[in-house]
Amino acid sequence: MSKAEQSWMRLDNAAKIYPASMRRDWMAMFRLSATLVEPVDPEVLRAALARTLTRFPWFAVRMRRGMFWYYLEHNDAPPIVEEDVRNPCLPMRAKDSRGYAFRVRYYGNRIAVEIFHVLTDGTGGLCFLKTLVAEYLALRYGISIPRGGDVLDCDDPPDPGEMEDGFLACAGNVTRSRSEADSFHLSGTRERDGFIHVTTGVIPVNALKARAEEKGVSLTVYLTAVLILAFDAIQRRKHPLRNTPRGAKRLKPVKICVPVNLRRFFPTRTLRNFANYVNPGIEPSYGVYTLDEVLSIVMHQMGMELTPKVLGAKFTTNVRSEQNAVLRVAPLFLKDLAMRAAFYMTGDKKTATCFSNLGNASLPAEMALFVTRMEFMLGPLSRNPVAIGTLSYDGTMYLNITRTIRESDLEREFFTRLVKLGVPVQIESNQR
Amino acid sequence: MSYCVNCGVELEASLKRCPLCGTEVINPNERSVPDPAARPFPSKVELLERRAARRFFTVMATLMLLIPPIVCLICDVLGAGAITWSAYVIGATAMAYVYVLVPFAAEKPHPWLCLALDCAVTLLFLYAIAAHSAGDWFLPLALPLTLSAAAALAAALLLFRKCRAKFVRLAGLLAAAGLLCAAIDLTVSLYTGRSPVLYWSLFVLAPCLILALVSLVLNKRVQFKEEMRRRFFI
Repeated sequence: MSKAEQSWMRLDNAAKIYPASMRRDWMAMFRLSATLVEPVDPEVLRAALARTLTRFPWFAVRMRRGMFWYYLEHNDAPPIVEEDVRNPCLPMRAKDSRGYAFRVRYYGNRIAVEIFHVLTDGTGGLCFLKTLVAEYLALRYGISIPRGGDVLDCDDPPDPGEMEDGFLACAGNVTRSRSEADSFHLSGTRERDGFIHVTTGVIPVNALKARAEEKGVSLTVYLTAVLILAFDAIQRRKHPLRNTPRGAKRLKPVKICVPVNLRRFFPTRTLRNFANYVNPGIEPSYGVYTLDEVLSIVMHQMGMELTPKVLGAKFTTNVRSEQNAVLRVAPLFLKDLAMRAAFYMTGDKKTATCFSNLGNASLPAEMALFVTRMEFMLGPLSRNPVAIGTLSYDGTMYLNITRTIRESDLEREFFTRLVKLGVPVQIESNQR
Repeated sequence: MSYCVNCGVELEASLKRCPLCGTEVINPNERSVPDPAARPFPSKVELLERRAARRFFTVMATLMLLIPPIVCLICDVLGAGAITWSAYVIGATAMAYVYVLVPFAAEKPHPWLCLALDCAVTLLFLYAIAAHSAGDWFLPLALPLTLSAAAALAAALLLFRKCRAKFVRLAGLLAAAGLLCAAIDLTVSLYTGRSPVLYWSLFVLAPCLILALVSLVLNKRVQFKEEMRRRFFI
């Protein structure tokens, strides 16, 4: 790749909404962390990050405003490695981060990466973290870690295939309507100072898997169903008037946004954004559901939507709007307004929360000796007060609930349900 | 290792309260204080930069607000050779500044202080106009009217801070509005030299007081309140 081609790149199709929709107090952030066996050495981490960035040129960028679109410009400044804070995933300010759209933080034995969604999605972020930790371990302990899979070799040149816009590459011809009904939402008291509450549920994967297998569903389906029932119970409790035979018509649908990794369905190597979502959910106005009913609904809804055909049609809609001639020639500030309005009207309204399961993180045995724990956390959503991210590592699932309101109804409802279903849960939190 | 007695979840050792329900963790067998370094998160809290934006906006707005009075002052002095009508513009701008920007600039505006300040600048401005135009209306008219409006606002403020019940708030607002009208009526009667009885304000005061009583009674009737909510929900 030539120097000129490396110096800047376009935002991928999914990333285009994030700069337009960000606010002073909100940015679409997510965080991945790995806990090591010994305290982290920040100097070594800095050196490891510098090496990792050479392999991930789409991280070594600053976001700029063009006349018509935002773009990512190559950034040479030394990236910041800073101490961790109690309230992660706060919006980033370019002047504090030297223009970078991600930050690396350390606390005790933990290395955490907080990433603005404009750079990549959870899968791409996990690949970045694994490579960063591999580089750190190699520099710190002088061990040699076999590269391959998600752990990239920083001596290799960047692979253009990993930087491509998977959406553009895989878009079809047929689009699909995006309209659907609004969902129930939690409401509560906003924290005045923007504090973000994080509650982590530490769950043994075996116990959870046993329950899911009993019902013949996957872990994601099982947890989504429990989550739906938790929201349903909260809606019925918070709105007693809706929870009467005559008022039931006003019960809002409860839907959960479940991001889907499109790499499973489409042939691309991209490590930038390449995810879509499904919104499984129930209509509480039809009556009170049992777990088995919700499991069946979620499983079949996901089964219907998780096919390359439907997913392809869904993101083709977004690609076609991006390619719309009128939209393309509109100046950026007009695009910003239009996209902000569209995001406000659709964005978070259709679902009660976002439940992102990154699955199981596996590391080469040489690395796994040094890594005790890996976590994934979604930053707060724009308008929904809770967001849920989960990652399993070494037989344990770490389920992080981020919350911007004071009331912890969802956490309580969700985790106590799991306990009642026979899944032991250990709780950690960043409570003040 | 402790479990929340209320939720049944196991709690990480450094937790003092259950993060799910807030129940305090009391484990008689574990009296040792956990090591703060073993906590899952550090104690440093990152703050959103709200202050900077607020300060920036306040400074910008102050500068913008300075433009009209300065332009008026220049025109006035150039035209009349002295400060005549521009004094009104300057006074009004100063009032707008105190009304809007002072509460905005404060991180957590103190409502009583703001009310007292607003009342004071209003009186000062009115006094200045009266003195400037040699009017005799400040003491008999402007002072009592401003004070009664401030008293009504103070009553409403007190009510909203102390009381959560919607019907009681409504009753208080109605009563305050009715009494304010009566006070205005009396003041104007005295100023125009009529006998100090209620004229037009009677037609405001009577329904206001009756409606206030009605809402107080309604507040007692929980069942009726529920019915009204059901019928009039928006």
